Amino acid sequence: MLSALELEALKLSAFIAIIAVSASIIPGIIIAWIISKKNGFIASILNILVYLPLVLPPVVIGYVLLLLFSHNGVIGNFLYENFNISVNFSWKGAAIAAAVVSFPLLVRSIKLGFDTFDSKIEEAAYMNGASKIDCFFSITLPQVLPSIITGLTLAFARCLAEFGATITFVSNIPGETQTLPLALYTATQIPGTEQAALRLVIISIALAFISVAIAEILAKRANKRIMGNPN
Amino acid sequence: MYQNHIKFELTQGNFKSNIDFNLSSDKIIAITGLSGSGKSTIAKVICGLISPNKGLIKLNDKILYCSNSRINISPNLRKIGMVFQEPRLFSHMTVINNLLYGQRRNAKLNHKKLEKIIKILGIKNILKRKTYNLSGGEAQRVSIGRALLSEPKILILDEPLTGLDTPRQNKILSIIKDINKKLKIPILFISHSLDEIIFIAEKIIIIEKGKVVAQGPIDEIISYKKLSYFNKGNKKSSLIKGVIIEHDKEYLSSTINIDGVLMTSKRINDKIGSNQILKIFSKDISIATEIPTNISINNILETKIKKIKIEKQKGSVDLTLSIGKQEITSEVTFRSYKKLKLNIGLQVYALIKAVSIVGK
Repeated sequence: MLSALELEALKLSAFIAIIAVSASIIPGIIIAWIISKKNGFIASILNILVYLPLVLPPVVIGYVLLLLFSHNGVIGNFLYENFNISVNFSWKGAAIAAAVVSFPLLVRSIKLGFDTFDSKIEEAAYMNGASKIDCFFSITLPQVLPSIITGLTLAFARCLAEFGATITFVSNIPGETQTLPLALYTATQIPGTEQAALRLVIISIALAFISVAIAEILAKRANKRIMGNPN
Repeated sequence: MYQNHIKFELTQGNFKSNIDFNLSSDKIIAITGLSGSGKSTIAKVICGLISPNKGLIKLNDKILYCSNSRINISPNLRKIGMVFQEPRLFSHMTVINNLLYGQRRNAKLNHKKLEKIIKILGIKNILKRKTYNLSGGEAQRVSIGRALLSEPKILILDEPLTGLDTPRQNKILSIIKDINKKLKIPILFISHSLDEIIFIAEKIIIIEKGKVVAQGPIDEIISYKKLSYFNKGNKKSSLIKGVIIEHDKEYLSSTINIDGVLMTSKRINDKIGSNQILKIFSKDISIATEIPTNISINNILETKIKKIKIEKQKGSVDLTLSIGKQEITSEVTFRSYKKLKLNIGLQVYALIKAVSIVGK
């Protein structure tokens, strides 16, 4: 049904999105918590930094990543010298680009969850003998779970849609960094491949539709668990 | 018996609390005062949810907070069962998991105790339900159960009846009394409602503007003049003590002796010779300068006006009347006050329309 190239791009898109989102969950929750609960200078700066990728042109992000992660760049040099890891022109770089671009969406949703969570309930947990860490895991996190799921969905969708930063940072290599949008872009650049392009469009839409639908179901379930009301 | 000492100073904005009291009882003690008097602050300081500027909090001979020796035990280690105004249940858990939340963190599961508490609270049928569709009364009972199962040394309830209708309030009040009796746990009951307190507490602490202004057993503190104004809404009332001396089977009434003055009320279901606390709303006392005849009111008492307080803005006058060694307040209109030419020391007749029993 799908051609080898299409299947490869589809797998790669999903794989990169899953890696990028999974790696973002823990830092996303921590940073969302900090910018929701803390009011200091550092929290404010963090807040701005986290939202930057949302407003910057993706090509700028791609170029900054290239500067940072190339073998001469600060992070790239460190990774190469110490761990012999190179992210240039590899799916790892594509995952980094996707993670950076989708991170604001993840953090924004989770922060909203922390903002609206009634922290009086935490006082009740303390009075029942829960320490702060215990309370965070047994009460706070389950209570903001719907927001976390929403954040993960948005971030995942954003990863699937990622194009500009990826192509700037890690180029367009079939089987390595050529995700669905990049494959589509390639198809649109070659005359006579309109049919192939259309197929890729349909695959993209189907993938987006399925992932958002699954996420919606999960979010509704989580919400129902907490409030008895799926909305 | 354990010694409990609560003493602290705390400044919050321009509100200052300066609290000092002892609790040496395993009974129900009520903290009362008008809203904004700083009652809830006391609960939060005892729990450790707010740290005072300085002071000493000692419960069951254990120091929980001491500014001099820099002790400040964190809330989760204080062994206090706290029931807040709102039930604050964990909505992602079932009722039974809410109940066991504190228990799991404080002691081994004691099935007998769990069953006992579930029985006292009457929540056996809702154990498997999620908390979001419980009624207000059910939710508050679960909240009380959760607090009790965390093996507390003391139970603090901060206005736990807010937002419940009267039958549910009465049910929970009875449950709280039951808990105190059956589980032998001291209870600090915070409420602005005089009816609740008189029903439930053996000792009262009155707070005004962040300070303890009076404390003692109910029947001692009853004459504290401000107590009568703590009542719900603007319904002023007076509290007086009396003893039942007679029941009348034909008229279904009881006669009460108040320092030698006799009054009749609806039949009271209690023994002859028992002490009672009576409440009379100020608006239920009318004044006459001569004995009226052909009138439905049964309680017509000869009395003297001790004090007059004119409330011009409301067009009303508060008259303090002596009844034995005690006092009651009557509220009449400014017009009647002028018409009857009332003044201090004048002998008048108090026509009391209704008397209710509020406690013992």
